Amino acid sequence: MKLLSIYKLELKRLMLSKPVWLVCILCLFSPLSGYLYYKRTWTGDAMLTQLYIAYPVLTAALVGSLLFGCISIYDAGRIRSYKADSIIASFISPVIYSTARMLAMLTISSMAAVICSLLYLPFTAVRLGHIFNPGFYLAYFFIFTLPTWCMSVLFVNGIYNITQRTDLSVILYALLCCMSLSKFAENNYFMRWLNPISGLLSDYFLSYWPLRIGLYTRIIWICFSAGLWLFSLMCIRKYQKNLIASIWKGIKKVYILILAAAFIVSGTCLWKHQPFIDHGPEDYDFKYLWDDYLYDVSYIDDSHFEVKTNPLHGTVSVRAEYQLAYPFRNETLLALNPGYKITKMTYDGLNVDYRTDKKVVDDLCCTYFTLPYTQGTTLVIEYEGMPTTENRFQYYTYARCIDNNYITFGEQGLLPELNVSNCLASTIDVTIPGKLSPYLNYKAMTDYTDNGDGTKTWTGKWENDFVDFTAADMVTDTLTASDTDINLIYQKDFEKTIKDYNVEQAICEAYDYCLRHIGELKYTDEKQLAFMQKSGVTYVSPDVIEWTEDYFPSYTSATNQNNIHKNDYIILSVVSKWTRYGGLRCKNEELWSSIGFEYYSLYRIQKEKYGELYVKKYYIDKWQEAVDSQSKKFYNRHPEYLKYLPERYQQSITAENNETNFCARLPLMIIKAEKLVGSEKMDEIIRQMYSDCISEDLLKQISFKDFLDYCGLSKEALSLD
Amino acid sequence: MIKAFWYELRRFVFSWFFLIMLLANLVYAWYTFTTDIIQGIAYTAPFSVWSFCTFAGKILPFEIAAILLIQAQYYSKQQKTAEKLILAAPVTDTQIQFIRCAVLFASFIIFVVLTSAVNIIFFMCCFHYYSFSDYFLPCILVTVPCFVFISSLGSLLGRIHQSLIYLLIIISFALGFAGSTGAYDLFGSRFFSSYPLTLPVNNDGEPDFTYNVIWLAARGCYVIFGIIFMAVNIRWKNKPRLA
Repeated sequence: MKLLSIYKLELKRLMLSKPVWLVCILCLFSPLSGYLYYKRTWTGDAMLTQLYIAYPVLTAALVGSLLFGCISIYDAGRIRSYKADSIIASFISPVIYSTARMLAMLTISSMAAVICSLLYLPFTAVRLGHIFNPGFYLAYFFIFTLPTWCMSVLFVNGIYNITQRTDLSVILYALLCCMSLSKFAENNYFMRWLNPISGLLSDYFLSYWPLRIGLYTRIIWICFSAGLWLFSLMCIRKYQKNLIASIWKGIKKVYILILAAAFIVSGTCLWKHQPFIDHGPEDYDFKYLWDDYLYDVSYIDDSHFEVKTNPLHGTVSVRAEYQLAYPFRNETLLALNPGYKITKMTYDGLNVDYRTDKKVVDDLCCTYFTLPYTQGTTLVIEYEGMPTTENRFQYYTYARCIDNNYITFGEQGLLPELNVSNCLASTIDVTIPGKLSPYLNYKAMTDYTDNGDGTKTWTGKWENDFVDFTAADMVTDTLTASDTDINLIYQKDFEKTIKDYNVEQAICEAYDYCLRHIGELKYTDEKQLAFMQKSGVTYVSPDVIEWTEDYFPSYTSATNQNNIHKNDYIILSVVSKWTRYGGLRCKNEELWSSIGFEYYSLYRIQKEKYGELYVKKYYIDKWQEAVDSQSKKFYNRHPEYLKYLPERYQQSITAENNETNFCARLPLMIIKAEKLVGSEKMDEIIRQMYSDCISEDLLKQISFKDFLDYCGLSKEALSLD
Repeated sequence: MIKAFWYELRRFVFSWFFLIMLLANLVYAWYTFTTDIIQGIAYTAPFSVWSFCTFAGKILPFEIAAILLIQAQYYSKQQKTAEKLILAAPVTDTQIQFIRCAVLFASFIIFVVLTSAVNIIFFMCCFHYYSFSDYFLPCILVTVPCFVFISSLGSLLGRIHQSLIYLLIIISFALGFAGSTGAYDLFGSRFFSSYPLTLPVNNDGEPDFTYNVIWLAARGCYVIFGIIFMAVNIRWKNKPRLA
């Protein structure tokens, strides 16, 4: 085959070429910049998998693509620059020659990707230790780097074939890269072909969602680049004809045109119908679905859900059965996560017509149906699909995922909501992989049947609202603090960190402190509080605190920006029950927030436990340093220059100032107030404020002025300058 | 000789290589400016001399690397084969070395001026700040001694082997990013970001710009060493080879 023999020649030539060697060596070094470039996350730490797998691989994808793009342009323009193109065109068809060259470059980039992944494997394995999963590492590496490098080569060759000029190709390729690197594509998983983003990885909850969406985006862009390259084959100049004449001659090869169109159309369809992120608004629009609908006064006696999860595909299929006390007479609204598709809806065996509105409101899609005029009782709805992530939050985390190791559905992630008053009790049967322990509304499920094929079906029930279902290899520890049961739920491998950091003791001590020094809590039903470990987005409500593994930073390094160490975050989240759902809710003013009381309580709890010197070293001094540094900063001394800066800088400086104000300045001010009025009087003041607010109306918030009135101090007395 | 200098300068400046190097430097200068310098170094204003010197010090490793890459071309195989022809011309070896130094210096000045312009244009457009006369002398003191030292060391190493220049590029990057904060810091960025914190502040809350004597002495030493290396380089004549 002529193509094959020329391909072999080209491959040999590229492998002996010095610039190609240089580019390959630079590509092998490219993950190094990923280790150094990305700063730590806001908690002062980052997950190990994020630091040692995600960042290096994503940087390698970006840098390697650019390098291979450059070398492809250089190589493509080589023949023309030596004026040898007409000679070579006389004995090889230019189409075959450019195809062979492109394939050879693809081979080189693939080989470089393979070598790069194997090069960093030992280091990553050593750094990650027991959480290292070689399959995941290799899959992540190959999904992100190999296709990105290949599509860069395809794009460049396609562009060069159309323009036949190096300088134009450089400009067009640069434009294509800028599209991916620009601000428009910042949070868009699908537009970023050059610098892909994956979701945040978790050390303890291994999820394949980043791999799935990564593979999906790579396939879309491979389709686009292959389509462009195939189209460009028709544009290759033959017989010294210009572009239009070459295309006219090239159209005679209809199969190339059809293939190119097929690739581009399939890429577009894949993009348009992507199942990962909902097609709702991009910015938070504060629209809530149930604001616009009145609840119908029909009653559901009983509801039962059968859920079957498919961790391999990340999908779930649900059968919802409602026993109606009174049939719905008006058009009924069923709200469901946009990722699900209703496959069947029957009412006492008869099919019900329904229409689904594709518009996404408040993370839900609405389906409208009217029940037939029969005295029926049972409504069955079956649906399946992959739950989508909300577009408007633009998190890099995924709130819902279904994997072999971790299954979680937050609110609105699994079950439908109807605009009818719901029943009091509902039951659920969930089929999940056998080794996972499920938690329904943060309580462990107990009844199950073994299906014999590695899965188990768990049965549970709940009253009122379905809030959360999570299943992972988790363990529950029940702690008792005063008269309250606290369930600490964490992933099994996390046990060592829990023991090393004395988390359980810290939670109990913090809880006792708050009960003694602030006041009693108001509980909705039973006196129970759950702390559940999750990955990604966390949810906090009066009875539940979700926490993530980065609450316990494993590094106490100089890059620890908030000076948070040990158990500070978990103590703050315990205290937040009093400051956000209890009576210590504060108005959000420029120099006043509930966060001040949280940090002040943290200081008091740690002072009680470790003493004056400890809190001075780790809290007072650090806060004072932050406050001094804030006053010295240029834009705080000269706020008139702030308005000249671009908006992005202004926002980041304001956010930085807010953080210092609430987390450092405010606690110091409260401590100063404590010194002025006396420690016992301060406790009394806080207890008084708390009980005043909690007895009146939980919507009452304490303002800075209220606090000053309670203390009997002036604003100047609390100033730190 | 002036004509030879212009021809050499034109040969390098109007090449793709120089353009790409310049572009890379400009991009890095913009990136450094928008991430670090805009917030003000050591609690001083972004348009203070301290911030400008830190900026000059931060981008210096890239500019030095560009200069060394240009210098490496003087010691490539192609150049060495052409050396015989060049030596046949009525120019002495010393004059050739001077021309080459002058070309490198001119290229370096182009780099420094254009990357500093990134800073200056932003201040003029956004902050309406126009007094830049204070930048001139500190900028020279930061950049020129470093250039003299590294380029003369480079020319000396290049005489031995071309790849030693590439090694020098790696060393200079390493020094630039992990260097000391003392007064003998070759590039100066770490020195200028830590030294103002030790000084007393004026009414405006910022320390006035003063020269540290030890730093000036260190700069002087770098220039002296650079001149010594250059003298050795010039004395180390190429022995005429018989065909």
